[in-house]
Amino acid sequence: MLSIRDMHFSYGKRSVYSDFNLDIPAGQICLLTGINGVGKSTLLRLIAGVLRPKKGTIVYPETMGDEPRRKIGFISDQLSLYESLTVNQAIRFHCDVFGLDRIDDRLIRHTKIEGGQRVKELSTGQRTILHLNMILSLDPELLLIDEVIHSIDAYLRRIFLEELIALIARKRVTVLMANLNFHDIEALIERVILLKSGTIAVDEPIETLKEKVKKIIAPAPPAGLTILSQRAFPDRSEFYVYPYVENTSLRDIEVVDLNLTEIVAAFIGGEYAA
Amino acid sequence: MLRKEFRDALRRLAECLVLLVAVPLGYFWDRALVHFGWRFADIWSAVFAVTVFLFAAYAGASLFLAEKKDRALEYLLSLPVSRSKIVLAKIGPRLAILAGLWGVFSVLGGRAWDWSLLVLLLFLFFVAASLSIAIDSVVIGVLGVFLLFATFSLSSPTLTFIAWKLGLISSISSVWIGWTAAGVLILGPFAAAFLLVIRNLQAMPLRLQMRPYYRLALPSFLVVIFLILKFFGDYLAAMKRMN
Repeated sequence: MLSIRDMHFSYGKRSVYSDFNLDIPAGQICLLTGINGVGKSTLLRLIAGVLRPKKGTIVYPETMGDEPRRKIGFISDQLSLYESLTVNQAIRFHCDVFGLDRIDDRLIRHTKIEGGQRVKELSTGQRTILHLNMILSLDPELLLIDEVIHSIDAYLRRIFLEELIALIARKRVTVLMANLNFHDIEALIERVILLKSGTIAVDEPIETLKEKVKKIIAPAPPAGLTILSQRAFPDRSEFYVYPYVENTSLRDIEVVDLNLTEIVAAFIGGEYAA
Repeated sequence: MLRKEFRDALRRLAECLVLLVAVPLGYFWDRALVHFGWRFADIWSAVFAVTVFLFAAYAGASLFLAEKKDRALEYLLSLPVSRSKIVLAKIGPRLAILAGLWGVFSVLGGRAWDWSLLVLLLFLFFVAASLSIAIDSVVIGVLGVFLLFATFSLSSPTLTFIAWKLGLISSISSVWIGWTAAGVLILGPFAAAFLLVIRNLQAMPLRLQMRPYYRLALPSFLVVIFLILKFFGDYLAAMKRMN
């Protein structure tokens, strides 16, 4: 279990988290979402150890040992690597630090990455694949993936997701990913955590969330239901409600199931409207 | 990691060694134009001295250059390596090359082992290293190092004078007292600030992590400047009277 307890964090005077708590059981695949700037990437960085809480603790599973970073695979949205190194030098550096003789470069060979190319010459997608390849070679127990998969092309995205799925199947790795667009990964997600102003606004298993968030098409706001956000059209209005409770007294309404992207958009739309 | 840092240090050395082009240029300039009668060995010695001093400052000031230029600080901090090991891996190869340069300079210059030169080079290197995290531009970093070096040069006789006035030493020409005091007053707070920043180094804008510099290094630097402004004139007057 990854446990965050009473965590405080700020950038200078700007507080991002105060008294933040979160537990993630081993092997769970979580989606972290929320509006831009809410602290998704910051939370991943804190767990990855590249940022440090001002107060509070982050306790890693015992299986990760005394140096958890050895078992954490972190792909940041900045795709931070030594850009002036060649691909071969970057891989050798990574191997040196982690004490590996070599890495399985199967993924890199899939793409058109040359060993002699400088990292800065790689496209965003190629850099993501290079980083993923290096991380997978570590056999991580905790995978932290920031919003990188939108910026890569469909082919590389497919490779990325296939490798991710294979890793999850092989090793029941814990995954925490920050994302705003989910149609690729919806089938993987087990739990959705929505952040709002440094706190957890929603924390539900995905199936529960799908049962609780519905779109209601109706001429007027449905009475007795909490509306997250709404959209008006000339002929109808759409109301996104949470939690949805079946109410037989409501007439002339249509209840529509939502996919994960629509659910998150409903929450985020509500935040922007507020 | 050590291999990468050694390669990085060698790259900095290569950049500094470009200065040696000035040796044949200076020689031919003298022979063809100005006819000062400079010997090749003298030109070599002077240019090499400048190169060694420049490398000391540049190697220190560029300690975190790769991370800043490549935006690789986040990657570096995500690796299972402690902050102290990161700093040691960066300082070790640079110090080794600096020691080698000092050896070459001492031997070729016929100075045997010039320990005071080594102390000066180490002072320059560590001051530069202390500034490396705080200052983004290497050029400004190197200028900052030479500003601190100038401050050190003025503060060491000033502090010797103060120690002499206070009766702590019997002779105003005991330069080691002033050197040590100036070294401690200038390098100490900067080094402490650097180590504190490194100990808590995080992947966030460095300007948000500079508090130890404002709290330790800046006040101490201002005190040294104050002492220079207040007592350096008296020191010069005392020296004039003694001569």
